[in-house]
Amino acid sequence: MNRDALSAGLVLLLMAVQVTFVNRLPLPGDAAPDLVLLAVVGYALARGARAGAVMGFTAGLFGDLLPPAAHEMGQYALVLCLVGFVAGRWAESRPEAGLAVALGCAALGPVVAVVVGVVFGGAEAGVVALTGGLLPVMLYNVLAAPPMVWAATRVVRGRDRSRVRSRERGARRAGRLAGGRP
Amino acid sequence: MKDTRQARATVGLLLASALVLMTVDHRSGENSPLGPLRGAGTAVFGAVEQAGASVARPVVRFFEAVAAAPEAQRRIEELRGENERLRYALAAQALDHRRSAELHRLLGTAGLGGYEVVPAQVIARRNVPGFEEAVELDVGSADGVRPEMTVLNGDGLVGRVVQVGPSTSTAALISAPASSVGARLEGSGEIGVVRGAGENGRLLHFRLLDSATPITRGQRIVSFGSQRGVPYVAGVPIGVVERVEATPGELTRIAYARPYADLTALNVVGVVVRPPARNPRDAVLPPAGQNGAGR
Repeated sequence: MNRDALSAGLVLLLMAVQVTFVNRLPLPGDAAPDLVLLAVVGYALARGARAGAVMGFTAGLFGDLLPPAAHEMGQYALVLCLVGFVAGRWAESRPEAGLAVALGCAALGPVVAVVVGVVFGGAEAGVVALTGGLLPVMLYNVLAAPPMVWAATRVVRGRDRSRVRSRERGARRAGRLAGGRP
Repeated sequence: MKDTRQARATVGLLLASALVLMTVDHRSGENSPLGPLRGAGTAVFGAVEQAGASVARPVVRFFEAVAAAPEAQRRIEELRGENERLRYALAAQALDHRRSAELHRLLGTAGLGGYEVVPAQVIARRNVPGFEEAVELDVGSADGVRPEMTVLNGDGLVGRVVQVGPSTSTAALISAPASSVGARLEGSGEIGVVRGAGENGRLLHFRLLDSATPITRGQRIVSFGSQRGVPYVAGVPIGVVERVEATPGELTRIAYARPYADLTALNVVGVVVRPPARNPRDAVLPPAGQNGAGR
């Protein structure tokens, strides 16, 4: 519980950093990586589909409440919940492909957001939107995914070792701890 | 297997609750039961973001400076020359100013028929392509800002206020995928609708309601306006037509326009807190130069 509260708090902090700083950087292509999405993916990789979906929903709900929000409540929660579930599910079914899952979900997230925006938010789907707006964001997400996801899994795993795919790592750590003690 | 079923049930429950939230929020509109929650969010996070923005601003400015460095040197030279010229012009104008002020008072029209604008700084920005584009401003209800007010900058229309907290407010940009603005082609005066094209504010989608009207590259689009200037005041320049789609046999014509306001790098904007004292009902297009020519 404590660890989950810490993760949720970090997500909240990340969200504020995202809107006040990252989104305003003059990056080429006028896009920026979605750090919160990547954090949810990392959390889901470490803790599985169910926890990933719950964390995605929570983070999305924060996103619906955080000030520059002009959409209806629940839309972003839906997006991140789906992404968290898919990431966790994918990682559960093939634990060895962690990086591929992270990259895939990083690229998938913006697409889910567009679909939810078109279906529920009254946005108009256009060809221009798909080529001009989506590709840069997907690219930035994929670029930022390895460090972000690694950091997120690190934060989540650091306090609990009964993880989906940390058996060998846990064994190694246990050995190190045992060796380090006097 | 049991775990999978549990996970599925959890996800189904969460997705259903997201849908319920959306429905409740959408159906109840203005007096949504989730309104107080959102208001609290705006109040709390608005203050946090205001503090965060003051920390982040120097860093953002540093990156902007690095990005603009090659051009900056040339620009400095240019500005130096311009400064010199302006200084002379200013000296001449100071002489004229006193006389002008007296004449103005004489005419008695100074405060009438103008828009009252509150300047604001963008402190946070959210852009998820195809989902939403919104910015947070550092003015709130304490500054007289209310929902459904027009947001503009020196170049053109920026968006409208959707949510107001005590000291911050949220504005949806005109390039947001779900926003639509009534617009008018300058010249022919034909009406249409401007929507976001999902290009992160680089392009706008303009649907002209009369397919027989000629529309060409370079034509200006201004806001159409509505009663009492809610949510968009009339005559604010929106953009210039860049590309016209060929839509043979359709009832409307579609063009893509480049917005005047640089929606990708917004910094200082203004919120129109009061429309002109006179009801602009019969003035279909405001006189050129009042607000529409400020580009």
